[in-house]
Parts: sequence; C-alpha cells; structure tokens
Amino acid sequence: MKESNYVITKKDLNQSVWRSILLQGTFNYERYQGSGWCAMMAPYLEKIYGDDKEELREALKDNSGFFNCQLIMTMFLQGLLLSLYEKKQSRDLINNLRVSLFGPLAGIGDSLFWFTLMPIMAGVCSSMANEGSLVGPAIYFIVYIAVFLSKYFFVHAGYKMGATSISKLGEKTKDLSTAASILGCTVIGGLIATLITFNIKTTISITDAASVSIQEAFFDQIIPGFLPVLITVLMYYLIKKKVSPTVLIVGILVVCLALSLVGIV
Amino acid sequence: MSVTLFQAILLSIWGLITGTDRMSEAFFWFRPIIVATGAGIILGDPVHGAMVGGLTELAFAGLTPAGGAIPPDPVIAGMMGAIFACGAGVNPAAAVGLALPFSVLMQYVLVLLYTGYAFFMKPLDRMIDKCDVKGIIRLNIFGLFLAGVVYMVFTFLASYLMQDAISALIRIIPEWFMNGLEVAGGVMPALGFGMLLTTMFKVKYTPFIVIGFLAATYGGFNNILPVALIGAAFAMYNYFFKKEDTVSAVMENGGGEDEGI
Repeated sequence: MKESNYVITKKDLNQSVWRSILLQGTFNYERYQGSGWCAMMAPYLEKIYGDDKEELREALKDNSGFFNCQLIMTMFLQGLLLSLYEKKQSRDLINNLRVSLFGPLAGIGDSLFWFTLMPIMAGVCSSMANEGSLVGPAIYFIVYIAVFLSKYFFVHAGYKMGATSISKLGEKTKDLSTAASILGCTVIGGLIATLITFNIKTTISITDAASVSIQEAFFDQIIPGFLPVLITVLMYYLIKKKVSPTVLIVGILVVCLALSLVGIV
Repeated sequence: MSVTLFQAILLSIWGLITGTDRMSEAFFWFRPIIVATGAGIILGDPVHGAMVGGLTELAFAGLTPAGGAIPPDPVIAGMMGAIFACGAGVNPAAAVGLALPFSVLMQYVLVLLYTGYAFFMKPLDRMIDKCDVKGIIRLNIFGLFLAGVVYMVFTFLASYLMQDAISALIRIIPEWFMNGLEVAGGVMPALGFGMLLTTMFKVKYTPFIVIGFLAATYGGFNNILPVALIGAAFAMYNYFFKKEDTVSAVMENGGGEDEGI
C-alpha cells in the first residue's frame, strides 16, 4: 500500500522545469510569485492527492499565499517539498519549510546568479559586443539557456534531499556565498576600470600656443580610471542613501547634458 | 528613419517574445544585449544592434529586480536603443540615452501591470476552492501572454507609428545634447556597478575590488575574463584553505597542550 504513495516520477520532475516558466505569470504586489508557485505545484499535488479533493484544496490554498524566491533555487524547493508531500508529511512541517526556506534560497540564488554570473556575463559579452562582435551576444544567449537547464539538476537534487538535513546545506552555502562574493567583487573592480568612460575635455592654457589637458596631465597621472572610481563610489553612496535608481539615471543624464553644454566633457 | 511596416511587425513579435520572457525571466532573452542584437538583425544592422545592446547591458547589469523596486525596463531600453542606432543611424552610445525615456515609461506600465494582476487573485482563490488545477495554470499562462502583448503594442507604437516624430526629434537635437547623451551612456554602468555593490559589498571584500581594478587597468587584457580568473583563484583559495586552516589550528592547539604537560 505504501508504495502507491510514490507517484512523482522522473518525468514529472523534468516536466516541472518547463512549468516553472509560469512562476511569475501573474506576478503582483499582493502575493508576488504566489499564484505562479501554485500553478507550478498544482498538477503534482493533484497527482499525489488523487480524488481526495478536501486535502487537495487545503494543499493548494497553502501554496497560493505570498511567495518570492529566486527562479533557479525555486526548483530545489519544489523538488524538496514534492518529496515531502509525497511522503505525506504533516502540513505544518511542509508549510514551515516552504515559508522559512524561500527567503534564504533566494539569497543564495541571487548572490550566485544575479551578483556573480550577471556581472561576469555582462562584462565579458558586452566588451565583445561593443567592438561589434556578435560572438558576445551569442555566448550570453547560450550560457543563459544552460542556466535554465540547470533547473533539471536543482529539482532532482531537492527531491533527493527529501527530509534529510537542511542545516548541513546551510553551512556549505555560507562558504560558497563568500567565495562567490570574492569573485564578484574582483570582477566589478575590473569592470569599473574598463567599462566606465568619463573624460574631462577642459584644458588650461599656459601660453597662447600651449595648453595642458586636465585629463591627461592630472587624472591620468594619478591613475587611469580615477574618475570612474569616484563616480562609482558616489553612486554607491547615493543608493545607500535610498535614492531611487530612476532618479539617479535621470540625474546622470541631466548632469552629463549640463557638462556637455558648458564644454567640460 | 526607415523602419518598414514589415520590420515593425517583426520587431513587435520580437517584443512579444522578449516581453513574455521579461515577465517570466526564464531564458534571459529580456536582457538588453539579446533584445538589441535581435532587433538589430531584424533591422539589417546586427553589428550596431550588438554595440548598443552591450552598452545598455552594462548600464542595466546592476538594476536587478532582486532589490525590490522595478528598474527602468530592459526590453524597451534594448529595443529602442537598437531602433535609434540601426534604424535612425544614431551613434550607439547616444542611442542608449535616447532610449531611456521609453524604458522609464515602460517601467511605469509594468508597475501598473503588477498592481493590476492583484485582481487576478480573487479568481485564483475561486479556482482553488473548486480544485480547478487546469484553470490555475491557464490563469498564469494568460498573465504571461498579456504582459507579452503589452510589450508588443508598445514596440509597434514606438517603432512604427511614432517614427516620423522620432526622426524629426533627432534632426532638431543640437550637437552638445547628443554629446551629453554619449557621455551619459559611458557613465551609466557606474550606476549598475554601484547597485551591485550595495548588495554584495562588505569592507572585507575591498582588497578584491582593488585587485580587480588594478589588474584590469595595468594588465593589458582585452576582455574581463582574465580578471574573472584572478577572482576565481582567490575565491577557491578562500574556500579550500579556510577548511585546512581550521583543521590545522585544531591540531596545533592539541600539540601545544601535549608539550605543556
């Protein structure tokens, strides 16, 4: 009798990767990804509960509240929770796990995919694209297809992990997250040096015939990339002060236009 | 400006595809580098499409939805950047700046959409009550598709119906204004990097930023990959040696006690 409970097949888990496209299908300010998460889980909950509509309704209700995770790590959580539902673990345990895990998992996912992979991909591919090469965009395209396909790995890994210790995973991810930050910060340092361009055109005339460019004689002598560093630090400071990115973008436009009008840049 | 009706239709379909992906964030086709390169191909000038896409990508690299607030829209930034650079022949760096107002406008459309989708939650709850699994899935597919259609309509309006207005605008723009836009396009990545740093920077990571900066400034590499490898080396060193240090510290302590006896 017990074996009949194990209804989630490998094929189901593979299929769930494609259903995950729906996670943000009706993203909204009330429940964020809650509705999409419900759509991802629903077919498998239906399979697990079969004709027991009462249980199915409760499970669907549990899974339709506020939810906000990172897209890849969501698959890990889905695999994990499906294995628990399948083993008919208590509703409380599953709900607690879902609510307590989606945040930390989002943190790991964001630090790996948004804050490490994204700057590297943007930096490498954009510097190729800026020289007019289509290889850059092509690499970008292929890498993110691979990232999508990594969902197969995560959903199966989550399912296998079942109820085994989550805390072990927690320790490892902390070290991994530090390593990812080191890599990310190094890359950002490099990107600041190479991809921000800001040069002062102003020159100081010494005699009628000779003049000195402030950029070449002063800033480039201190260190090339001195102004880009200053600008980045300023942006960092303003964002920390809770100035919204949109305001900053408009601010950059206005300041650059003004500087251009008076001939400084 | 020369966007034909046929091109505008293709661009709109590209807008539908990338707009749907913007909503789902599944394949990252919504990133400016992909959107602009695709639009460049449609407009017959993939090289300038890729260039404007690369520049926009850098500016948008740090503008992640992970932070909470919605950033200016990456799809429309890439799309309009390509239309300006490939369709109207504007310098790619200036095209980034010209595309921004459109992308900020789309940002607000998206805020409306995210607010409006809250009204989908009532029908969702009703479907849950009825255990209507197919309905729940259909509701979310509809949501994705609706967002894609909004992008499609926006792209068509901006690329075709408004093109006379846009090219008239470009003709009257003075040179200092275009220059200012170009400079802004070069500065914009600083915002992206600043945003990234607010979420990942801790004082203890400062050395790695300095190392990355110096390696890129004086290393003479023609792309960022070697710098990334230097970063990866430090990351691995930290990951593997930290464990060893912990083990040897324990052993040394043990040895010290023996000698003490």
